[in-house]
Amino acid sequence: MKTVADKAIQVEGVCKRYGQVAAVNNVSFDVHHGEFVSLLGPSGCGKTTTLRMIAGFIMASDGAIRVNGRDVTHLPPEKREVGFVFQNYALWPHMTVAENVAFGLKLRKRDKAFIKRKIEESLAVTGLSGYEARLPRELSGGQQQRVALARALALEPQLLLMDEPLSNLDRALRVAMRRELKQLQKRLNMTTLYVTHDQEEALSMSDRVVIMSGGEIARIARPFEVYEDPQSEFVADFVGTTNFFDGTVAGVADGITTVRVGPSLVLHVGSHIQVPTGADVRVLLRPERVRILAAQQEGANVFKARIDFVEYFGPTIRYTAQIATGESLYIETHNNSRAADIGDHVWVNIEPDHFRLIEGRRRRAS
Amino acid sequence: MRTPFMRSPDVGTLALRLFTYVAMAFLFFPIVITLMVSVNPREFILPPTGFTLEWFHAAWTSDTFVRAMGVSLSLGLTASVIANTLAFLAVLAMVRYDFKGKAFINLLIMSPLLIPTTIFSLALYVFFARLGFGAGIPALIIGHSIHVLPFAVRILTASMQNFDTSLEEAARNVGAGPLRTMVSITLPVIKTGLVSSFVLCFVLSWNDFPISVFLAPPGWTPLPVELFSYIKFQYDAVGAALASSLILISAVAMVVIDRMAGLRRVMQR
Repeated sequence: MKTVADKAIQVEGVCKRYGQVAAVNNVSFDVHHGEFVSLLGPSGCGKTTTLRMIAGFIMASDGAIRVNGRDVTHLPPEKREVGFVFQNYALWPHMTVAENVAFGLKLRKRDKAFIKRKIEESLAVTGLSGYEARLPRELSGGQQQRVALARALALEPQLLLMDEPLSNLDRALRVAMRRELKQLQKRLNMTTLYVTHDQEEALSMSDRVVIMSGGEIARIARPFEVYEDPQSEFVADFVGTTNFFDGTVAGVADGITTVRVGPSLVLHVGSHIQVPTGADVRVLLRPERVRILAAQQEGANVFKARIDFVEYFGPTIRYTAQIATGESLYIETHNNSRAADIGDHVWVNIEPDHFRLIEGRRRRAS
Repeated sequence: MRTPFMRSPDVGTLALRLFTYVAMAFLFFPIVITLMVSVNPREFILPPTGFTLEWFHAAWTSDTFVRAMGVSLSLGLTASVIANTLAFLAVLAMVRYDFKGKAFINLLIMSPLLIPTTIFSLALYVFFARLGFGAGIPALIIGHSIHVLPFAVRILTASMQNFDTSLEEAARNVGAGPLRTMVSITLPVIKTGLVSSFVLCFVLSWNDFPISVFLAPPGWTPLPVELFSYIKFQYDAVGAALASSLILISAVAMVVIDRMAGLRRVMQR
């Protein structure tokens, strides 16, 4: 090794422009060795374009991409030495499972015994031993996905890029494969960059999540940070469900920021950011942080609310409620807590520390 | 579509069915007659009174016809190879890239379909004569290649549009260069389209008459032209036997295409 780069991927100021339109605009992030990073965002946010630029299927209009310290920005895909798993698997239909896995090894002129051993190994690790002679069309979607993974792993890439690899599977299989994939990634200590639009996938598998929106990065953080402290309206809205309150800071005392929302609602917010009195703020609140009280109570952040809608999800129940002062409020509870019906009036309480403050008014989403 | 005014929708269906059968019978009639005459011991006198392969034997042992078959075979194979090579490259460009003048180039390639073949053949003859070649083997091969090119382009366009380019990306990703990807992935995957296209081009060339009449040089006459000259002067069933042979060979080719790719897909746009 002539250079020991501590970063497996470095993406620096990468842009992709189609005419006047920037599909990806000035995107920069790193992936460390052995790390599992997800690119998460709604469709059209540029996440797949970014991944495909790293693989070399699309050439970047601007910026630099380094893989293990080597500048690959202008290299064709066959010179980049990165593994890639496609959303539609992209198995070669005229080749058997073994031939699919062996193709890259044959190109590298490895000897027969080595190739044979490598096929066995990578099929064993993906649970496909015994399927060597099958053609892709004779396999189920989940099995095809495993072949695609085995094909990438056989070449022992230092880096694995995955483009929504589980999105074509049905839900039960997707969840099972997700766990398996994550365990495999940990066992092999495989640096992975994973594109998904599924927040559950991104949160449950990743060491860090890169959230993209409109071709730009909205947030890079660990999964719990993304969820607990979204820091922006877009992230809060895209990941999970969020209550938003627009208000004005009425005063700050003892670490509690008093926010006046509308004419008569006052929230006591345990703020971690300093906001001066009179500033416009948005207050974010996750629905599962709202507690339904057994009886009426006095105190800060206790409100009376009317239940307008109930959604039963199985493990949880989501209520859409209206606070007496007129604001609407999502509440999510475990299904073992006291159930309320449409039209019921309940008392709710929110701990000050469960609010998050963002400066400035909420832009009304179009 | 059923309308309120059509009291009995079955009348329409029946009429369509009847029309279809009549049209089919009309199309098949000459073929059936040809086949009957070619196995009828009493020349041209219908209905047939027995069965014989005498005429087929005479046709397939005639030096002139066997030689003409060889000419048609080499002509068909050569023209199909040329047309399919050019068509594949053209289709690759037209399906994968957007460029100026694409619609015009497509129209140019398809134009032999719009011009009556006789006019097209005459034009080619005049063109080659002006160039100083006149009728000859190269002119004949070029003429046939241009004639079958639109069909090759149609079939291969369908194949390439259905081709999933991520298969190529996957090959590039594991280390295959563009050429290796083409040879190991793209061509094998669209194999059925290539074979269908090749067989159809061959059949079209094999059956062509007008281009060959204008462009075939003396001493290198394709089978349909040879057959025509024979029928003009000889009044026997050997001609019918030869015609039946041509029909049967084409029919076999069509079955091959249908099995490989589905005729419907090949002929539709």
